[in-house]
Amino acid sequence: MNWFIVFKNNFKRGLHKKTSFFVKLLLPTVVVMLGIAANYADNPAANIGIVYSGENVSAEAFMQALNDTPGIEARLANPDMISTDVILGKYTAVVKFAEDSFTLYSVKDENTHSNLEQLTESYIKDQTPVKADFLQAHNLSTAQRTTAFILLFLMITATITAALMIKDKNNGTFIRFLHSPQNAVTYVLGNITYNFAITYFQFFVSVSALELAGINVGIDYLNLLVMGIWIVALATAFGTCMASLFNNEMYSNLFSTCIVLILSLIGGTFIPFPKMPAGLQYISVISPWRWFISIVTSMEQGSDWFSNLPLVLILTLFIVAFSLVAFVKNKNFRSL
Amino acid sequence: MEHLGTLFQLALKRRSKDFFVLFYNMIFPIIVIVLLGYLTSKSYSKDFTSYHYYTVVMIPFCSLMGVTTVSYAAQEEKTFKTVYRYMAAPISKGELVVAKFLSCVIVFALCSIVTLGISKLLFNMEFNGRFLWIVLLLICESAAVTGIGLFLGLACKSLDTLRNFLNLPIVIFGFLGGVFFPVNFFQPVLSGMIKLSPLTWVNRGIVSCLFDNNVHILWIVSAVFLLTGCIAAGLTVKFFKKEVLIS
Repeated sequence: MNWFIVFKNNFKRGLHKKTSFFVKLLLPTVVVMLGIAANYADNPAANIGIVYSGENVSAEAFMQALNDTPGIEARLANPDMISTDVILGKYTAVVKFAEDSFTLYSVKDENTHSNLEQLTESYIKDQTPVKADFLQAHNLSTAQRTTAFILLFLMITATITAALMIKDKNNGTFIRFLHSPQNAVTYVLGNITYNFAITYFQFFVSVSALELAGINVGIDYLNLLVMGIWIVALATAFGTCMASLFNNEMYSNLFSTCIVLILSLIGGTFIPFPKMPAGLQYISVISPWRWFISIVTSMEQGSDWFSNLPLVLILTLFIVAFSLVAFVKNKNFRSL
Repeated sequence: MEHLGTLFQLALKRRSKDFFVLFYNMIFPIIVIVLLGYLTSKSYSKDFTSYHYYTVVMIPFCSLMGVTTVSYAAQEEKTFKTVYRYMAAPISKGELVVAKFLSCVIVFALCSIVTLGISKLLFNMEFNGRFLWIVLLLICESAAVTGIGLFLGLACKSLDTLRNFLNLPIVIFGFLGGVFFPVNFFQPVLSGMIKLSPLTWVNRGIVSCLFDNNVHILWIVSAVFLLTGCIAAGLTVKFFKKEVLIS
């Protein structure tokens, strides 16, 4: 139970500077809540911008027909910013009407572009609404996005919390601890449990506040809390691993942000796993995001967290691997 | 200001030899551009590819992430254990801050410009003769990033905790500014937040300059960045106390 001394003392040390401690505790909570709220918004509908001058009957009829089409919204676009609005995603495409012709602006792939042209041509002739499924973005669901973002933010904040270990090494506390006599495993275990308690508190407060506010992320609250144990354990183990690898707080924080962003990219946070190129689908096995998203997909269909035991086991292996690196790295510190 | 030259040279040497700064501002953005560009390559046209999109949005984002690096670099005397020498030396705090400010702006801006150049060559990006406008914006952004970073690192001792969390709002600004994927401006929940992200305006400034021949937004954003950088650097000189480096 020697690890408990480290765990307890870390709290005492934190509470010594109360303001700083509560900022560290609550700031990530607010950020996670903001992240969840930002992802709560539904998948965007396709927006088509329309540009025409004076009275143009076919343009007006076209705009009305688009607005009557499920999943499409049409708006008047700024003629001076057509390329900007199309490139930055304000509009999926912009249709510019001249007297008896039109020009379609989009940066979409050839297939979507030609489908858009056909849709425009057909709506100019006949305004009866048709299905435009090709414009629907097949993005991640709210639950998948939310889980991915919580993991991303908590991995960064857990690294910041773990930076206490770097301070201990730099000011000699760690060496004194080893001579007390204690071992590095006890020290790492105490720090992991302290970090876990702080990070799970942040997770719990964030999801509970959103639950109370009536924001349903698409996963049952109890399942979310159980899943939180793995999310937080992974974030904590990763943070501790980063803090053990670097002797400088800045390097640890910034490298962890780089690694987290890259892992989340290849894990399917931004592009759904099935839509990834084949090569990246293989590489994505090294990203915990892929496995979390797979479990959430299954949970959305009614199963609970433990119905996906093989995937849970893979995530547990990630946690063990990160923790082992932290243990080994700190154990070797004695020989320096 | 007689010691400014020496301090500036020393700071410039340190910054330009810092492998981490070079990695974070040059190698990391290229990795992410290639990765995201490859991931989304099927969704874009042949004329304007996904690599072009991520070149435009990722370089300013990584430059903004430099705030954290600068806030730590501001206190590098602590790391190098040379604080007492700086305390005893007859150098003013103005000289110290200005030397750090100029060296960081130069190195950060150079990193962004080199990354932009590499991306231009790698992805055949067409700048329509406006490469220098983008360079101007990146220099102004580096000034703002450096000014804010120095202010947080040197003048706000009470906000020391906060600087560890700087990456979180920057990543959120990135999401809202369309750095990771184009965002829908008309989402009722997000539209207000999107407008608050500086990266939204940076990206609009760059894209409208390159593809709509409209430099209006880019001018305003550059001016705001430059002003922010100068004000933040001025405030740092005013509020910075050398003793802060000891604790």
